[in-house]
Amino acid sequence: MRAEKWRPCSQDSSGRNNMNIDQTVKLQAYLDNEVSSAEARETAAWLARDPDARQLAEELTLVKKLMAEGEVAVKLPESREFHWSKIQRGIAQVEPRSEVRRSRAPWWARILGPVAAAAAVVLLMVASGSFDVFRLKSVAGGAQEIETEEPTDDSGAITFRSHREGMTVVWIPSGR
Amino acid sequence: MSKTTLIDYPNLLDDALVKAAQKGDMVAFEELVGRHRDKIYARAFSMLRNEDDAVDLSQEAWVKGWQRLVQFHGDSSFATWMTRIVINLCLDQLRKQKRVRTDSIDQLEEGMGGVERQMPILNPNPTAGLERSELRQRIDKALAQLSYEHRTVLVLHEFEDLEYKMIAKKMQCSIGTVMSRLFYARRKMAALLAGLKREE
Repeated sequence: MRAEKWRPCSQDSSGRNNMNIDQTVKLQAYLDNEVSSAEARETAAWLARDPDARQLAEELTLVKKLMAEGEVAVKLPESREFHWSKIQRGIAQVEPRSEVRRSRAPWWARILGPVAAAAAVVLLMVASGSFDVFRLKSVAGGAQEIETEEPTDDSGAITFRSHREGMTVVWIPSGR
Repeated sequence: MSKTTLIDYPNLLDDALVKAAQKGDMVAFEELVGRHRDKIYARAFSMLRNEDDAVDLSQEAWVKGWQRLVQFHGDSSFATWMTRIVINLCLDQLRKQKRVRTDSIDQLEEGMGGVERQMPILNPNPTAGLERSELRQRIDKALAQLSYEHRTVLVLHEFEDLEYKMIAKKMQCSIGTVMSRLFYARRKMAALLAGLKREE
């Protein structure tokens, strides 16, 4: 609203304030520093020439100042322990904390975790004698290079041979 | 050999407690509750004016605080962040209450321009000479007599220092409504503090 629209605040014989709502809230916004600098200049000029507006401004400022004195100190009407026990119950009901923990795991742990689990499964299969997994008479791209031999006796031993590397590994499971 | 480290929680700053709590340390969170429980309850009570509701909602605020702790990045103090949570819960509660009741006379008056605008302007200070504690008691008593819309807008503006825009967002209304509510609330407060308006 532009300052020119402001009219002097009039009061009737009983002293009632007849300023319209647009004017009053604009005045209040000025006191709360919620207007632009241009509006602030206009409102200040209007206040300077209108005693009724000044009077209302004084009242609004007074309430603002009184409220700034603060609040009555209110204390929680139950003990810290009791209050905390209720909060704990509330937390237990709404959220398993593990979800939050998982989200905070470092990136390498999130990648290595599944890999380690897969490796453990493979090792378990080996240890339990699931040798079919390694019955690779040939491997794509290296048919003559890698060979494995399945066990021929009760020892459970398995042989891995690489011609390229000139290496032979014999796996003898423990517990046999 | 494992090494046990004793943490002196009461002597840690809020920031350190928050970091520990964000890692799942419930003892750190309990310390934060212990430190700020009165403030959180007081804000709930100032808005709801009902002891039981304020206790319940402040408790709910702490549970939500724990759940959302990972979202706290220290942009404000922890106490301010928690206060915002309890304010939002109170506003939700007040909105629910509003839905089940008919329009109050206050609301009708607000829509029509209100009696507050017609009240004589007060001058001079009706609380001059009061002790600070007495003044606070009087302010609290006057606040209790306001409608919840007027009380809420005053609490958010004067006690929480929120701007019109933020208040409008929180109260889900226009800035114009915030401005008029704030104006009526202040005028009513002035009248109540001066003892011009009889207690309801």
